[in-house]
Amino acid sequence: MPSAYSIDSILGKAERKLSAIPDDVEIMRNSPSVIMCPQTSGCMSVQSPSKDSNDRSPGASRNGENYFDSSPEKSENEEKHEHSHEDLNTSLSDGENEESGNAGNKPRKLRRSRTTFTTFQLHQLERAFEKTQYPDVFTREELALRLDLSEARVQVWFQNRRAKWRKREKTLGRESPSFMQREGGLGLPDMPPSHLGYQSPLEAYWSNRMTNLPGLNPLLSMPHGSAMLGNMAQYFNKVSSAGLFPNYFQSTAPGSSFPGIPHMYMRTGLSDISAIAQAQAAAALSSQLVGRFQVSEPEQGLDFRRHLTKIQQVTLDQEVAQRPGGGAKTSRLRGSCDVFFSNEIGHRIEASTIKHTNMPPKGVPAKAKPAPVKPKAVRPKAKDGDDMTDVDGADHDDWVNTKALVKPDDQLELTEQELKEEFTRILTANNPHAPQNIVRYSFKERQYKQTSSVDQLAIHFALDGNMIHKESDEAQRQRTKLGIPDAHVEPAVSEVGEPVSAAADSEDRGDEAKEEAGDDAGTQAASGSEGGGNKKLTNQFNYSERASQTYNNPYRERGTATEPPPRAVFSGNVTQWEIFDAYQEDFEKQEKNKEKKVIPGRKEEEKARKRLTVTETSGDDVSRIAKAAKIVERMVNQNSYDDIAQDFKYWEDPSDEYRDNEGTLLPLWRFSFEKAKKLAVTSLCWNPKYTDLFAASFGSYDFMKQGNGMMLFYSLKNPSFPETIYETDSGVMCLDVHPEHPYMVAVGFYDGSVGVYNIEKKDGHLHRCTAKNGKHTDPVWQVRWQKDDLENNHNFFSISSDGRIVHWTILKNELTYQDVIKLAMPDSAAEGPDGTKITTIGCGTAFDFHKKNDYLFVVGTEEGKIHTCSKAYSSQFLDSMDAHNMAVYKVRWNPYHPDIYITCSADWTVKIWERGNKSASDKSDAMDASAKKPLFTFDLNNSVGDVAWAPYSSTVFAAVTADGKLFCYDLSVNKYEPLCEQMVAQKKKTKLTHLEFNPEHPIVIVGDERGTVTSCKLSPNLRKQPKEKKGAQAVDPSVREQAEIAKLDKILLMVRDPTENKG
Amino acid sequence: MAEVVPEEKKEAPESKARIHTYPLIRHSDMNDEMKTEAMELCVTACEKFASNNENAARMIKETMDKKFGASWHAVVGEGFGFELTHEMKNLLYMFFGGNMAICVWKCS
Repeated sequence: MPSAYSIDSILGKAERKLSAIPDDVEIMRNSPSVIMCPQTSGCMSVQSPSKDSNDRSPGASRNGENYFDSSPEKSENEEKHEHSHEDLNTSLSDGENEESGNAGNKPRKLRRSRTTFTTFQLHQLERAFEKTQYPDVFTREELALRLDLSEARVQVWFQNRRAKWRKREKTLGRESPSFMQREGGLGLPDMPPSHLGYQSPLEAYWSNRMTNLPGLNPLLSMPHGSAMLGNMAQYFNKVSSAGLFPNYFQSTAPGSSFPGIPHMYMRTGLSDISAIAQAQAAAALSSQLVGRFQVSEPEQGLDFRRHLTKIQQVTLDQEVAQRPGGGAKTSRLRGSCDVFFSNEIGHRIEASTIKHTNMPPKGVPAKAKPAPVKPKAVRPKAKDGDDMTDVDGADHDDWVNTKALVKPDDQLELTEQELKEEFTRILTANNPHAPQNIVRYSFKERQYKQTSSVDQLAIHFALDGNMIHKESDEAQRQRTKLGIPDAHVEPAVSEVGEPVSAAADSEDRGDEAKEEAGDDAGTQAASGSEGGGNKKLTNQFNYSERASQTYNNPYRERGTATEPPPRAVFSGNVTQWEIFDAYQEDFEKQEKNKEKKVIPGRKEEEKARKRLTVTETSGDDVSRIAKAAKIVERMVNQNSYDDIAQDFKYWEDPSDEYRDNEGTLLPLWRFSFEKAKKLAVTSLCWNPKYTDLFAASFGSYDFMKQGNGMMLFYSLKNPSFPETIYETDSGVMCLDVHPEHPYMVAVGFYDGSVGVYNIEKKDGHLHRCTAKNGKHTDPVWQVRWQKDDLENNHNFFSISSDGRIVHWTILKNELTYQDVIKLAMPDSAAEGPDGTKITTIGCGTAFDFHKKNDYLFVVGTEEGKIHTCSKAYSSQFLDSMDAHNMAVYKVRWNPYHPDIYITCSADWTVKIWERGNKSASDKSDAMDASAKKPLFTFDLNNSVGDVAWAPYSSTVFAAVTADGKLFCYDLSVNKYEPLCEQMVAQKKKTKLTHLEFNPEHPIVIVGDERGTVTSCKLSPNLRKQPKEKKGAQAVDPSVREQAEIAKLDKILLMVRDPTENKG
Repeated sequence: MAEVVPEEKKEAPESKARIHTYPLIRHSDMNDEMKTEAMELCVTACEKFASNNENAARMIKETMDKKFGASWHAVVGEGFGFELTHEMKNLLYMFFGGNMAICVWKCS
């Protein structure tokens, strides 16, 4: 804020102008009193200071001698400013200028001719005026440019126009001029109503000042409004003005009653804010002096009087109460108040209301006016050159005498005459020094022309600012002068009595106003700095910095690396020969491929065969079509072995009719399996249910050539390949198919173990005993199923060389065993007397159960003995005899006759025994066992491997011998010679090991030691049925059985009789 | 057979004299589709730039980059040695025209 034009200073000045505080008359005298000529607005009258104080008013216009006739001599001293106010000149040129000019002592030096506006110009200006009454400097300049006028002319025109308009407004009866709409934001919106028709002195002042400082119009640039001012008042209430401008010395004008304190002149409406401020301020009123003014202004505005009416401390209420009274007195009481705030030293705020009332026009101004119509002449009222407040004292007595007027003590008492004395001194804005005869060459008109408009600026009034910057040289000087070391640490100057001293100072040193101002400013600054400059010291002992810093999170790197794609290294060398070789190689390959493609035509057959074999052997793929394959296979076999099948079914040897006692065997299919070729057939067993199916076990009888074993199931329908194949780790020495469950097969192994197979299952293996659960210690020579026991558990017997006969029972999942009998040598006891009782154990090789009596069975041993045993007696034989000289290979009961059984042995013989004989032998106990004789004995000239009764006749049996022959006997036909003696084995040296009659068909299968099973068809002579019973064949089997038994008995009788006869 | 064999024997010497021009893949771990495409590309490039191996290699490289993603490398020449690191399934080493070797691999 420029010091010279701060609002503060402006207001202060204004305040000083309008509300000189009546108390301090002396001070007031010092202050320049400005009286403005409101009507002409451009005209400013500055009341010259009184004689004794005129030289002390620094703010007074230095050109005062031009305008103040009353004090020309003083103005000379102050001629410092050379500025001239041309504007004022023009504004006064409306007629009164002459007068005012005449009124002045000095003749006017230059005078500008009156401007004549053209119609067009006027029109334009009027239009502009319609838009705005207060055009800003730019608008004016633009207007001036357009109308070919100087900006100053335009401005003046506007001023005049406004005045004219205002006047007309008034004559139209309006109470207040409305041109200053609040929204205008121009000038001083709240003109005191008393100024009707006149421009505010301030406005005039500023409008004048403005020309002095183009572009800078503090008032114009400042937003106005009473409320605003009220706010400011409030604000200034709170904040000491010194605090507001801490950087400035503030010096009040010398006339101020409170030097060092800016006075604020606030003009407010009756806004609430200001009212409150007033109320507050009033309530806080101290005993300080408060000027309460009632300023009456003449209607014509010729004079501007101030009457000190009373000095009084008032509260707002009082004020309000008083107002009606005052209003009653005055012709027009305006509601607007001027609030005068003064910031006291003690930070008190004084609020005083200044009532502006329009006083009825007094005679004095009227008289003083030379031209009554236009109140342009300004006459200073101060009669004695004293303060203007004194001047109107008498006038005011009239209307305020009801109230107790308090006059300053030193108020001049003026006589009536003195009061009436007129000082006609006209204040004009013409700069007397401005040359009026300037001639310039106009290029436009090509001639010298007198410039009509010379920018004359006459400064009527100038006031330097109260404040100087601390940093400025002046302030520095003042400070040093005052002995203040530094602005910041300035000690507080005792402020009580400051105003007095300041006042005294101002009185004493009159002419050095600036210095005084500086002094005041200095003190002010001191107080200000004291008020607001104290820096709070931090507590050094318990001090914490308020500011805090948030914790910075540590940065963290986070990243993931994907696995790079796998890489590989490759290297090579490229040379021409390598390329060539590569091509060569590839070419050869291609050639080979071509060959292969050609050849397949020839090799197709082979491949087809291979495929066949492949399909045959490959497991899983074929298993899906196993059934179909089997059917196809059988069909193929049926075709290929069709002749055999035909023979099997229909061939009856026709030669049999011509030879009664001879029969033949027709070899049919030969069953041979590749893997079993090196094994001997150890046992054969027809399947009780499927008469075309038989099982053959393979092992080795040679002690030195033991190896794996095999179990094959053949069907007559497919002689080329076994139906089922089971390979075992040990040689299979015997097997037996369960008579009622044809899928159950009991197996005895060479290693002494027994097992059970289920041929329905793929694996087949169900149980196998181990050393832990009763395994034989020598080869198992025979196993035989028994009827299910009482608990329906399958069970079978086995016989082994270790002399044990074991009863095996299948309990759910396990095989349990029970020793039935141990084949102790019966004659061991006889050897006992030597003292060495060694129980030798017989080696069982064969056994057979009685067809009718389950408990009864016969056992043949390696020693050639035959024991008749019962399950009931485990330690004792029912009977025992030396049947053969060598090992008994087979024992079989006659299927029909209950007491007849047949044995065969390695001693080349086959013997038929009768159990009933026993009793006879019992009778001759003394006779040795050898005395027991068989019913029949047949010598076959070789070791007899097996012997079997024919299922269809009680008198027919067959035997195989080691020289490959099969002997077939029919006792009913020939008791001594076989009906048939035929080589069955392909080679003579091939031993036949076993044979088995088919229970239904007239065939017999014969196994040899080379793994081959041969089937032979018995010729009709070998299977003769009793002729006499031909017709009764359909009779039930029991009858037939009886017949068979009778037939055998009849033969036996012939045999027995001689023996019995012998006996 | 007796007739066929002499024929073959006759063919063999002829073929030896013959210059093989077909592409021969010496080594590749590409999948079949990629291999076929790469091989076709190599053949095309070598036929197009029969006299300029560099251009052929450039063409192969750029085309492979476009088709199978960046960073392919190609070597075209009649004689060179190499030891390279390649991404798995991205190597083709082939002969072409009887005297050209082409090695294409990816390594980014």
